[in-house]
Amino acid sequence: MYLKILPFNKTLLKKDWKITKWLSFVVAGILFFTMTLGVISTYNNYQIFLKEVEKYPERYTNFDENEYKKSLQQALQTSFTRLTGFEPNIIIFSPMIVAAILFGEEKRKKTFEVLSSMPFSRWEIFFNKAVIAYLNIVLPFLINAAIMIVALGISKGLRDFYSAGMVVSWFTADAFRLFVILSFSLLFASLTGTTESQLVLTFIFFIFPLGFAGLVELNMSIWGYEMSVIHSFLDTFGGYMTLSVLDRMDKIPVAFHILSAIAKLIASKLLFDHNKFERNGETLEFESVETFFKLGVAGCASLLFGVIFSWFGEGDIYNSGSMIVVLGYIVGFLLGWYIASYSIQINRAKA
Amino acid sequence: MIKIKALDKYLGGIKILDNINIHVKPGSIYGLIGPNGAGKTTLIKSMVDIYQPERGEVIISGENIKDNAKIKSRLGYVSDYQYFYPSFKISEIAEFYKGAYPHWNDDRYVGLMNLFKLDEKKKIKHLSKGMRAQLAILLNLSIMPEVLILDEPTSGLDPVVKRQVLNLIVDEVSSYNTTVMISSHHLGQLEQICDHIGIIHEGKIILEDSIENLKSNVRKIQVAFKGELPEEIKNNQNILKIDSIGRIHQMVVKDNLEVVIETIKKYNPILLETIDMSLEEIFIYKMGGEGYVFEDIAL
Repeated sequence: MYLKILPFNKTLLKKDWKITKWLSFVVAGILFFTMTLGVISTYNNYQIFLKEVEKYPERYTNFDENEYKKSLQQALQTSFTRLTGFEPNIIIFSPMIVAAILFGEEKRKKTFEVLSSMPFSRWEIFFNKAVIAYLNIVLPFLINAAIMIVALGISKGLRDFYSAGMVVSWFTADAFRLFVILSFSLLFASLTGTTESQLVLTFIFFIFPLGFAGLVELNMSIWGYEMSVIHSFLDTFGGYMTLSVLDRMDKIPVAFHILSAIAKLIASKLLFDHNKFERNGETLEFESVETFFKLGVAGCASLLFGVIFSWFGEGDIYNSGSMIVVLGYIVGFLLGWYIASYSIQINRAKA
Repeated sequence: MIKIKALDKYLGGIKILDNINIHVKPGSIYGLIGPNGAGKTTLIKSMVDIYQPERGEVIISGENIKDNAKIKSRLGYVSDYQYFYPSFKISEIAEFYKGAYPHWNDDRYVGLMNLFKLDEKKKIKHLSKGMRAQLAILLNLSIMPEVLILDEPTSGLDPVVKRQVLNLIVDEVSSYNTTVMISSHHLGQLEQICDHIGIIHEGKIILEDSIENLKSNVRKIQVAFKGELPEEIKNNQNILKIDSIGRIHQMVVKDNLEVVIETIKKYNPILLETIDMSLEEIFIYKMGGEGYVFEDIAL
C-alpha cells in the first residue's frame, strides 16, 4: 500500500468530484449547444438546403452543390483545427474556475482546515485535487467528442464532412490546452489565499505578457521611441507564453508547453506544501511575495496612468508635456501601491 | 499520549504561543481554559496539524503529528466552528469520514444519529449551529479515536444536548480509554469531567495540575468575628486574598490550611467554615494573580 507512487485516494476524488461536477455538466452543455450540435446536424442541414434549392431553383441559379459541400467541409475543418465560437472562453476559464473551486473556495470556507486534521497527507490532497480538476475540464470535451463520433456511426452522410480522426485530433489539442492552462491556474491556487484573488491574479497573469507588452509599447510611443524591439520580442518568444496555446497547434512548441506545465505542477505542489492554513482567506499565501505584488501592481498602474495622463495632451510627449506624463506615472504608482496594500490588508488574517 | 514540547507559534508576526509544554496521560480528560485571545484555539489547531508551529513539536502516541496520516487516523478533532461542505447531506459527509478513517464504526454512527435525532437527508447548509456541533461530535466519535481534541464543543448546544455530549465524552474515556483534550469557557462543565486542567494566558501555560491538587492546594475559608478582623490574620502569609462584607470575611488560602485555621481559632470566631473553591473561582483567582482584569473574563 505504501509503495504506491501516486497517491490516488477514492474518498478525496469522490469529494472533489462532488463539489465540482456541476461545472463539468454546465461546460459540457455549453460546448454541445455552441459546437457539437452544429457539427452533428451538418448533414441534416445540408440535406434541408438541397431540398430548398430543388424546391426554389430560381432563387439559387448559380448554386454549385460541390462548392457548397466543400465550403461546409472547410468550415468544419476550421472548427476542428482552430478555436472558434465559445470554445476559447471555455478553454481559458474552465481550468481557472475549477482550480478556484477546489483551492480558493476550500480556503475561503476553511474546509482545508478540516482536511488538514484528517488522515490525508498534503501530497494526497493536492494530487487528487489536480486529478479531479483535469478530469472535470476534459470530460465535457470527451463527452462531446464521443457524441460526434457516435453521430458518425449513426449517420453515414456525416462521414462526407468530418472523420473520427478529426474529432480525436480536436479533442487531443484541447486536452493539451486545458492541461497547460490548468497547470498555470494551480500555480496561482498555491500562491493565493482566497477565491477572488486566485481568479483575478490567474487571469491577470495569463494575459500579462500581452497586456504588459502593450503598456510598454504605448509608453514608448509617448516618448517617441520605436516599438520594433517589443514586436520582435513577441515574435520570437510569444509562442512560449501560456497564452499562446490558444493559437494554432502547428505554430506553438508543444513539447516546451508540456514540460513547462509539468514544471508548474511541481512548483504548485511545492508551494502548496508550504501554504500556511492560518493565511487562508488572505490575498496571498506568502508574506514574502507581498512587496513584489505591491510593486508589480504599482508598476503596471504607473505605466497605465502615464498613458491616460498623456491623453490630456495630444497623445505624445511633445504636445502634452513631459511633466503631465511623469505626474501620471507618480499618481498611477501611488494608486497601484495603495490598492494592492488595501487588498492585502482587508483580507489580513486575524490572530 | 499527548506531549507538547516547547511549542511556539506566531500569527501575523505576533507570538501567540510561547514555549508551551503539556503532557496528557492516556485515558484522561485534560481541560484547557483561558480567557478570550489567550491562544487556546491556536494551540489546538497546532496540535491537530492545521497550523505549523515555528518551534517545538506535538507528539501523539509517540509520533510527531506533522503530516502523519497514520496518527491522524486515530485523532478526532471538533473545531470551535464546524467547517463542513455546505452542499453535502449528512449521509454524504458521513460517507466521506467513513472513507477517510479506517476504524469507522457504523453501529456507533447509527446509535449516535438516533441519540441526536439528526436527519441523514438534511444538507449541512440547512443545519443550525447546534446541529452542526452535534454532527461534528458524532462523526468524530464514530471514527473510534484514540485521541479526541475538542475546541468549545458545547458552544451553541441547548442544556439537554450539552449534558448528553459531556456524558458521551466521559463514556468515551471509560469505555475506550480515549485520551481527551477539551477547551471550554464553561468551567463548571470542565470541573465535572476533567482530570487535569491547564490554564493558558497570553500564550503561556500559567498553571497545570490535577483538579484534585488544584482544589486541595487552594481553599476558601469563611469566617466572622464579633469585632474587627485581627491584624495577625490580616498579615498572615498563607492568606492570599480577603474579601469582607460586614463582619463576614472570605479568605483564599494556599497551602497550610490547618495553620491558618489554628490562628483564626485563637480569636474565637463566631463563624468558621472551609469551602471548596470551584474551578471558576480558582481560575479567576489565578488570572487575577496574573494581573488580569476580572470584568474582561468571558465565562
